[in-house]
Amino acid sequence: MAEPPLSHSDPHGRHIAAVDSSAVPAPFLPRGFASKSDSELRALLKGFSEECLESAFCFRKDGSFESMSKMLPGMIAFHLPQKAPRPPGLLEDHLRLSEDLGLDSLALAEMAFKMDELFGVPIETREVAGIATVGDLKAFLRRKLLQP
Amino acid sequence: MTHRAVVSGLGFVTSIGHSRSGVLDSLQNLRHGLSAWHAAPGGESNARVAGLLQGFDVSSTNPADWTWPDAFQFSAADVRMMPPHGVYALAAVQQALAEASLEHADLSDGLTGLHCASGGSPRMLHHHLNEMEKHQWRRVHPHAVLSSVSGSLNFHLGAHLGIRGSSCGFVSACSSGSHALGYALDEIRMGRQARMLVVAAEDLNAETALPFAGMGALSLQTDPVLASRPFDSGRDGFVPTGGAVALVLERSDAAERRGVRGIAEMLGWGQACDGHHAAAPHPDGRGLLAAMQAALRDASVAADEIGYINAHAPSTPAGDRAEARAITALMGRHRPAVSSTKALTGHGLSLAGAMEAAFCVLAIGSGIIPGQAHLKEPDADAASLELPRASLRTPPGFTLNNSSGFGGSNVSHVFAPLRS
Repeated sequence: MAEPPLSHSDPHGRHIAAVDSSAVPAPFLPRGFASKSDSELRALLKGFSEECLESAFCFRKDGSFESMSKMLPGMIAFHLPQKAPRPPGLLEDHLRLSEDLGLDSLALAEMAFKMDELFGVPIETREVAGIATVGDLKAFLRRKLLQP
Repeated sequence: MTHRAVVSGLGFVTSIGHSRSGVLDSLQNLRHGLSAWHAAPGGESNARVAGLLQGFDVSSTNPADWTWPDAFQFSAADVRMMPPHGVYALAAVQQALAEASLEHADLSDGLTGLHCASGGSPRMLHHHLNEMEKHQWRRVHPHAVLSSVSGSLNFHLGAHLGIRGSSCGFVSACSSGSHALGYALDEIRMGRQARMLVVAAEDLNAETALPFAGMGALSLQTDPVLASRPFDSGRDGFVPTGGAVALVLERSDAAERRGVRGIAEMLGWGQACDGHHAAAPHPDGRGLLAAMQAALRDASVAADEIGYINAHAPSTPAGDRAEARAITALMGRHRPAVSSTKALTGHGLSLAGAMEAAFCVLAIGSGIIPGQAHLKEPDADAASLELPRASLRTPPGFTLNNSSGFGGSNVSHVFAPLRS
């Protein structure tokens, strides 16, 4: 599944423009995430990859879905069960979270908990239970982060 | 057919050392591991001394903050879901497997079982319940159960080590570790398992220790030497500690086939309940006496053959008195050496029985008898006990290891030197 362009309509038909995020409020940037300090982000992402942390800083700055998406490989790698195979470097949308990447239901629940804590957006365990692929996860997060 | 069992590996994360050689040196020289301790920084508490674990910091509720000595080969990802004492346990298991010449893969043969003892992690439970309440019970960390409840140790170790034989956790307060080892011996003797890994571990933090202050069970002394002095007339309570101990118990013929002789033989064990009080021991140590008698019967060893008793004696007035009376009643005119190594380590709660069993095995394997540290004036009830003030370079021979827990739960083990 191709990633949607940054300029598009959201599920409610609202137009979302891919413009300089400093000029207009960033559509994907939840308030609970934007307000987090560097030290808070570092504490929340302790043990995660440097790339994940850097992407979090970028996301906080530009509010772009692309920056948020770049956090996902690090998020997934951190939550992988120990005996799962290591994930491929390129996190393509068709990859299945369970079969291809090795995320079990507990790991997915933990990732949902971390995202709730990190983004300040309520994410219930049951909401993520049915997410099958990386693309589904992105779509889910897009929907969640767009919620007013 | 009843199989014989030998202890073929030991691992230690204790206040007196994190290696066999370090622990042995502490036992030989009666070097304690107790230090001044502030259980609740910024607050007042009635826990002033503890047996601390040098080189480990698992005080944070975020496992990503935990640190341990470089000698122990496991990763942050390995312990991410564990209770804090899981870190100690992995370090102890690593040592025990190395000494027994075992690899992780050897543990997945279906003939290796796992028995664990731990009280869980009250700190992690406290943290997660606080977080849940703070968020109106909506946000619940997925690891809230796995990182905190009793049983979490065997959940994690069973998976981490690939155990496919029996797996069970034991919760009988301060007898837990001893029950874990006793029932492990039964698994081998009955032919159900060829090898048992026994792991006991406890956190050391305000949440594990301070509830005992509410019962008046902790020493109020600030001087470590005065705080833990089993059998002394001036004792006033126990000193808490945490850590982990791992023992590999193995069918003797299976060990021999691998070219492993073992360190000491475990001959038998016994248990008996006081049937008296939820917390206080029977004044005459009724249950402990019965447990020692049962252990001796099981081992086919007479009381007057015992050379050393590692007493439970936690340095509490009631506990030490009851045990002194029980030992005196059992031994009559025979006077084996008796010591409580809790003078050196502090009291490890669920960990204690397995830790002291490992000390007994180490003493037999090294030909020493640990002395009774910190003893100045023996209690009148302990007057007839042979309490050596220094460790003896004497092979202990047949050795008893005692444990007593809340509810009057008493366990006694019998160990012996390897047969020639």
